[in-house]
Amino acid sequence: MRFSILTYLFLTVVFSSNAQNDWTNVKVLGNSVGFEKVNKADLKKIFLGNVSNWSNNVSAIIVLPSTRYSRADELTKTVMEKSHNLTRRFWLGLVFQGRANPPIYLDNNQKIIDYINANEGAIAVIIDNEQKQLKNELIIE
Amino acid sequence: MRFWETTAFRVWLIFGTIGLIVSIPLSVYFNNQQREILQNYTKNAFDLNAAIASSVIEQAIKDESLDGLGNYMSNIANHSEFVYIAIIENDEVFACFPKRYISEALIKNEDYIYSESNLNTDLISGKLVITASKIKDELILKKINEPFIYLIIISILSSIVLFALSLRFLSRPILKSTQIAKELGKQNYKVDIHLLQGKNEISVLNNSLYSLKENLIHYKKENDNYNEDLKKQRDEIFDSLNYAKIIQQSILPNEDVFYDFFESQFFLYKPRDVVSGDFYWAVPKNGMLFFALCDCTGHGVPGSLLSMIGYDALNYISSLEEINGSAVFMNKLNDFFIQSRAKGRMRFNDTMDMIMFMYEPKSKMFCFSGSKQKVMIIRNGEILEYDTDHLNLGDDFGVVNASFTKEILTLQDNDIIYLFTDGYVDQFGGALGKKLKYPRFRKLLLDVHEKPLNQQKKLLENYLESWRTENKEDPFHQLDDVSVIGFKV
Repeated sequence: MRFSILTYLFLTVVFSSNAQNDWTNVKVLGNSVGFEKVNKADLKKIFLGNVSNWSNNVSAIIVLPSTRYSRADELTKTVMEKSHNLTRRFWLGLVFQGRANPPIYLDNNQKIIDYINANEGAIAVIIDNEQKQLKNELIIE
Repeated sequence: MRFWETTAFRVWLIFGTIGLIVSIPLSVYFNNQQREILQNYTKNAFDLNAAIASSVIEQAIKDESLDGLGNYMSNIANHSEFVYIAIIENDEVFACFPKRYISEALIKNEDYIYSESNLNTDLISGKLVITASKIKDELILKKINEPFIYLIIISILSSIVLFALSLRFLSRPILKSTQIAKELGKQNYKVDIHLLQGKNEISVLNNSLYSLKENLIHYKKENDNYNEDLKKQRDEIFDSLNYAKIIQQSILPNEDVFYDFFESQFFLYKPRDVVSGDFYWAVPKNGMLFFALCDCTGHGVPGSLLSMIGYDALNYISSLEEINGSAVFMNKLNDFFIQSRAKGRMRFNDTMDMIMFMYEPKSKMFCFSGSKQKVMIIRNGEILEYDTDHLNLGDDFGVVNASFTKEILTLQDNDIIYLFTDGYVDQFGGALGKKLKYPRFRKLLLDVHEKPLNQQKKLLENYLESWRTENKEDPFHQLDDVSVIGFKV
């Protein structure tokens, strides 16, 4: 009995941690951000408001999933290691303190893709199950 | 006079003090009112700002669009009226602008005005706080009140200038006028006054003093003339009196008249005025000495004139053959006075108290009569006192069937006869301001009788003087003519 409980707990932890850091379907989109490859740590920094201008002097526009985004919580936990609500609170604090430009909240992948394609300096993360390459998609190292 | 002793300074001081007493509480009151109004205004403004900020945040969270919040924060960043704006959640600072962190002390700082608004969203629940510094209000208050401070300084300076002007144009002329009045009071009419133009108080005062000076000079001239006249008249009167004195003293007998009758004698003769109502008279006749000491009614000039009538009468009576005793002498004298009154030479009240004696040195027979006078004789250290008739010379005794009487004594060697008018015993003086009276006089005579008569005169004179002036602060004047005469047998 004790063994079965421990096994269950172990499996739950393993699977849940895997779920939080599941980058499999995570895609990064960036328009004129001055780079094509980005590692996960830098990506986290970017989405926590540490960058306001890209290296090519284009202003950084952070695009975040809104509450209507179906897998918003999963996405923010993966990329920013915060729940979606905590991310919103975090950004509310940043904007309130004037430390970052306001991010753009969008409801779904299509709106995000369209916004990225239309705005230079914009960067976003999405969860996309499709295997095809998207326009302005960056490589996650 | 020092400037702080002037009325101008006192008025300035009183008004200045009242001004300060009134203005200081008023200033404090209005300053507090202004502060309260300003702080209320700031509080209201910041309450509104807090409400707007919380609405912006709520809307931003609801719309999931932080653009509005970003713009709002950019806008308020340009306004420095607030100290910080913060979102407080569960008593902890969630976010703060422009400071990134604020301490506990800053949250509860009493120098700040706090405005807050509730914040209720699905994302955050707490309150939004905006703070303003009271110091900024104080600075604003100071700026508002700056003109009033300048006004107060200008008022104080103006009052000082006003005081200086009033000193120059009021106090100094008044002091000058006071000085002039003092000089005029000292009869210094050379003091310089000029007539002033204008009708103000100073000019009126000055011109009044000018008129006063002119009038005083005029009155002084008149007064000097009067004084000169009076002095002339006084000198004339004194000359007349002195001459009268010489005449009166010429009727007094020389001492050598007495050499054949007494061993020695003294005459203490002190008229109250220049001339006297007292006089003494002596005539030797048929180996006897006729002597009288008279005190005429009144003193001074009337007394002296009466004494001349008395002297004339005494000479006349003494020349009559039938005079064989002092009583006859007195009754004849009385007849003379009655006739003089009847002829209108004397008034009804004019009379003289007197003592008259006839002395025959061989037999030492001493016959005396008198009108309201006493004779004192000291014999062997004892005093013998004799009264005379209480009749007034000039009264008609026929009506009351009275006449002057005589007393005859046989004197002994070394007897001393004292005759005197009432001027000595009636003199006021001593510590209590009373009359000298007979008991003191008797004692005095007993005290001095063994001394030579010339010394007795001096002692009696000194005693009377010290009695009169015993009260040094308010000595008595001599009230009547004084005569004391002593004969040693």
